[in-house]
Amino acid sequence: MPGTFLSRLAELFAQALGIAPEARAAFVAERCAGEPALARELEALLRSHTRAGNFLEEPACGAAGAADPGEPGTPAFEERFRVLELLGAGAMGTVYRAEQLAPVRREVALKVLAQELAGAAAQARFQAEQQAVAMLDHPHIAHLYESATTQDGRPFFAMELVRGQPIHTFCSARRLPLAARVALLAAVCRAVHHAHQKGVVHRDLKPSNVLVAEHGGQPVPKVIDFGVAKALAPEPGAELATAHGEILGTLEYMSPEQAGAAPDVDTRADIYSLGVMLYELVTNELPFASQRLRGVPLAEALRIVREEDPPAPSVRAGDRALRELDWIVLRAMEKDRARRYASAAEVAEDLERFLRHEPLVARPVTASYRFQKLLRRHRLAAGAVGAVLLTLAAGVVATLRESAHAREQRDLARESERKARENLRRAIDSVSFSVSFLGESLHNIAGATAARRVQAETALRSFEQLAALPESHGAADPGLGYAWQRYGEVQLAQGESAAALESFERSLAVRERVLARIAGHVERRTLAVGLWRRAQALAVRGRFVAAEADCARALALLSDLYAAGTPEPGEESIYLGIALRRVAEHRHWEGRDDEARRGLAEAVQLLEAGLRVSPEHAPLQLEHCITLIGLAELRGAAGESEAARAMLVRAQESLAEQSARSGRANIQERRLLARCATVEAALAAREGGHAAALAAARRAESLCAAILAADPLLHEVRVQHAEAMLAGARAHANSGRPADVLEALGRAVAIFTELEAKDPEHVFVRIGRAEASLLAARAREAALPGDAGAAVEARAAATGERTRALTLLRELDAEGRLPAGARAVLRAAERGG
Amino acid sequence: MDRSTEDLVPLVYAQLRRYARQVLRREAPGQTLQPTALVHEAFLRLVQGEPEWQGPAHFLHAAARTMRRILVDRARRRGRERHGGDRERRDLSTELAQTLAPDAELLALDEALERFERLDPRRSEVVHLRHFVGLSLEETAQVLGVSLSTVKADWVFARAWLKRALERDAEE
Repeated sequence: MPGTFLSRLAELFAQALGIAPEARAAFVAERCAGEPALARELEALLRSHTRAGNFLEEPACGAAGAADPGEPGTPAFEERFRVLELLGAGAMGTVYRAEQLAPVRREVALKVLAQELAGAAAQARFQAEQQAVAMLDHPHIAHLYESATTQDGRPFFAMELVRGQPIHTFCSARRLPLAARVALLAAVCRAVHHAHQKGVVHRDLKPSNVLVAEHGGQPVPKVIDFGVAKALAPEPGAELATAHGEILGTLEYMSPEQAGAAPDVDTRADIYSLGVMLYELVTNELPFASQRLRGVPLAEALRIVREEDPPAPSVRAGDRALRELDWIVLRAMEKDRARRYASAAEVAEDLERFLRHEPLVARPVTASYRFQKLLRRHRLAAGAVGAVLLTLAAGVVATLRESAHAREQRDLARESERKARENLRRAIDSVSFSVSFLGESLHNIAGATAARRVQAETALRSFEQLAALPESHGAADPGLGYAWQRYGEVQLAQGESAAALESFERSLAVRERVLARIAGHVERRTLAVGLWRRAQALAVRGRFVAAEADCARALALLSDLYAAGTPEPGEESIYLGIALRRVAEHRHWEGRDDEARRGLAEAVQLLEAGLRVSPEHAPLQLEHCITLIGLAELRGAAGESEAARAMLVRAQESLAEQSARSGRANIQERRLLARCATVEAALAAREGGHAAALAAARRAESLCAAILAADPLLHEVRVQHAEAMLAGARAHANSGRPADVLEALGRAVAIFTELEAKDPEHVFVRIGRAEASLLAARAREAALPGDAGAAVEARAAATGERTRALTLLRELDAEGRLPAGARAVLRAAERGG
Repeated sequence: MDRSTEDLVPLVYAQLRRYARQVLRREAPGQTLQPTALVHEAFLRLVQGEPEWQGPAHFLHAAARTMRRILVDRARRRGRERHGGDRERRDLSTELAQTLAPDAELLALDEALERFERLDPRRSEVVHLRHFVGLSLEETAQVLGVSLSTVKADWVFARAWLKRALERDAEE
C-alpha cells in the first residue's frame, strides 16, 4: 500500500536525520534490509534533503512591482502628486513613488510620517529643518524638493527619487572588493561633510539611507532622508522609545550619545554612524549584532551601545589585512565623541590615505587612547599574558616542592624531577616569549608606553620567581637579565634615569653571572647590549667617562665576535655598527669630532655591507639611517654641507620606504625624521638660510608634537621636542626677530623646566634650559625698549638670566658633566658677556 | 458572505498583504502581475467562490490553492505568449532566461505537488500554507492544530520529497 510505504519512509527519514550523516548509510542498510525499493527511496530522499538548501522556503509568487494607489491606507496628497507605487513602510512612516505634476513634472519619492508622529511641534521642527535641508546641494545627497502636509494633515517630504540599493546590499550583491567599498564610503563621508558644513546633521545614517546605483559602470552613492530624523526628534524630556527598536535613530547605527538618557546630538553622531557603516562594509558584520540588541530589553541594548567596545574589524573578520582600517573605524566609533574624527572630511581623508597606502591620522591618537583606556580599566590587562605566566610559574614551584617530597621515594623521584624540569623550561620559554615578543610588538607604538611598563614589570616578577627556585640552576637567568633591561628601557623612556641605571646594573650583574658559566657567542653579545644600555643611562646623567668605558668594552667584545666569524652576518654588523656609533658619540661629546666622523663612516660602511647581503633587513636599515643622520650632522658641522645633505636625503628616503613597508611610521622612524629636520635646520642656519632653517626646525617640532600627542609619556621625545624649539629659536635669533625668538624660547624653557622637575639629573635637559636662557638674554638685549627706565630693567633681567645659565653650566663643567658642544656654548657666552 | 467569513477576511487579508510585502522587497524584473493585484484577485476568487467558510484552516486552505492556481495560470499564459509572438520579449534573451526559469520551475512544482497531494494530503497542506500563503512554521502549526515539531518534520520531509521528484523529472 502506497500510504504505508510513504509513512514508513517518512518515519525512517525523520530518524535518519536525527543521526550523524556519516552513520546514515549503515542505518539505511540495517533498517531497510530486504526492501531495496525502500532503501533506494530513503537514500534518494536523504540526498535531496542535503541539497534542498533554500528550496520552497521563500513564498511562491514571483511578482514584484507597484503598490496600487487605490489601496486602503494610501494618504491623499495634493492633486499635483500622483502616487504610483508603495516603496516601503516602517515605524516612522511610509514612502511612495509618485509623479509630481506641478510646478515641475518629475518622479519623486514621497515620505509620509506616521500619524502618531505628526504633532504640531513636529510639524514646526519639520518646517524649520526643511529650510536647511533644501540648501544642500551635493551630487551624493538626494535633493529635498519640498515638504507639505497630506489632506488629513500628516507631514510629508517630496524628495529626489533615488533608484538604488542600500550600500551594504549593493556591495555584497556585486562582491565589491575592499578598496571599492572604502572608496564608496569615502564619497559618502564627503557628502555628509557637505551637509555638516551647512549645519545639517543627518542623525540616522544607516545603509538603507545610503542608496547606491550604477551610473556609467561606476557605483554612485546617494544619501537620502537628510532632515527627516531631526523632524522626528522627540521633545526634550519625552520618552526616547516608542517601542523596542523603534526608537528614533536606529539602534545598530546609533551613537552612544544618542543612546544616552538625554540625547545630545551633533555632527559627531553622524561620524559614529559612518564608522559603524564602514565596520559593516569591511567585515559584513555589525559591531553589535542586531539579534543581540533586539533580544534584550531596550535599556540593556542602549547600555551596550554606550559602554561596550566592539571587537576591531580585523579581529571580527579574522583578517589581518583590515588592521589598518581598524584605526579608522575605531576612531570614528570612539565612545567619547571628543576623541572621534573632528569632521566627516577627516574620515574621508584617512580612507583616501588608506587607499593610497599612506600613514593614517587616526592611528597614533587612537592607539594611545586605547592603550591608556585598557590600562585604566584593568590595571593589569596589558600584562594579562604575564599574569597567566605567573600562575604557570607558581605551578612550577608547586611541582618542584612535590618533587622534593617525592625524592624520598627514589623511583618516583626521578620521574617527578624530570617533569618538574620540563615544566620549568616550559615556563621560562613562555615568559621569555612574553617579554620578547610582546615587548617587541609594543615597542615603538605610540601610546603603548604605559602598557610596555606593565608588561615589563610582570615579566620581571615572573623571571624573579623562576630564578629564585633552587632547582632552576640559573636556567632563568638569561630571561631575568633581559627583563631587567626591558624594565630599565621603559624607565629611561619615561625620564627615570636613576631607576633605569639601577635596572641596567642589575641586568648586567645577571649577565656577567651567565657569561661566567657559559662563555658563548650570544651571551657575549647580550652582555655588550647590556653595557651600552647602562652607558646610555650614565650619559644622560652626565657621567660620560663611565659611559665611554662601557661603550668601549662593548665595542671590544663585539669586534672580537665579528672577527671570529659569525653565524648571522646581518645581525653581527648591526651590533658592531651600533657599538661603533656609540663610541663615536662619545668622541663627539669629548670634542674629538674627527675621530667621531671616522668611527661613524666605518659604521656606515659596515652596515652597508650588511645591507648588500640582506637588503630588506629592517633593523639593519633603521640602524643605517641613524648612523647616516649622525654622520650628516658631524659633516655638516665640519662644513661639508653637500655631503651632509646627500646623507640626509638617503636617510629620509630609506625611512619613507620603511614606513611604507610597515604601512605606517612608528615612533622611531618619526623621531628620526625629526632629527633629520633638526640637522637640516643647523645646516641651513650655518649657511645663513634663516627661513629654511626656521622651516626645518618647525618641521622637527611638529613631528615631535605628533608623537607626543599620541604618547605624552615619552620623556626623551619631549627632550627632542624642546631641542627642536631651541633650533627654531636659534634660526630666529639670526633673523633678528627678537619677539619670535622669545616666544619660541618661552615654550622651550617651559618644557625643559617641567622635564627637569621629573628628572633633575638629566644633563641634556639642564643644558637645554641653560642654552635657552642664554639665547633669551641675548634676544632681550637686542630689543631693548626705547624708554630708558624700561631698558635698564630689561638689561638687568637679561643679565640675571645669563648669570643663572652660566652658573648652571659651570657647575656641570666642574663636575665633568658637560659635553664638548655645551662647553663651547659656555665659553662663547663667557666671552660674549 | 456570512458573519464568520467576514471575521476571517481581515485575518487573511493581513496575511496576504504581509506576503505581498515580502514579495515587494525582492526585485524580479519582467513580471507582470503586481502583488497587490494578485492579492486582490485571490481575495475576490475566494470570497466569491465559496458560500461558507468553516474556520481559518478552511479559508487558508482555499487561499493557498487559489494562490497556487493563479500563479500557475499566469506562468502558463506567459509561456504561451513567449511561444506566440511577443517579439519584444523573445529578443530580450537575458530577461527571458530570468522569467522562464521560475515559470518552468513553478509548473514542475505544480505537477509534483499534484502527485504528492494524492499520496500525502496532510504534508501537502503544510507545503501549501508555507509556500503559497507564506505562513511561518508556528503559524502553520496553529492553523492545522498540530505541534510545531510535527510541522517541522512534515515540512522537512515534504521538501525532500518534492526536491527529489523535481530532480527525477529533470533527469527523465
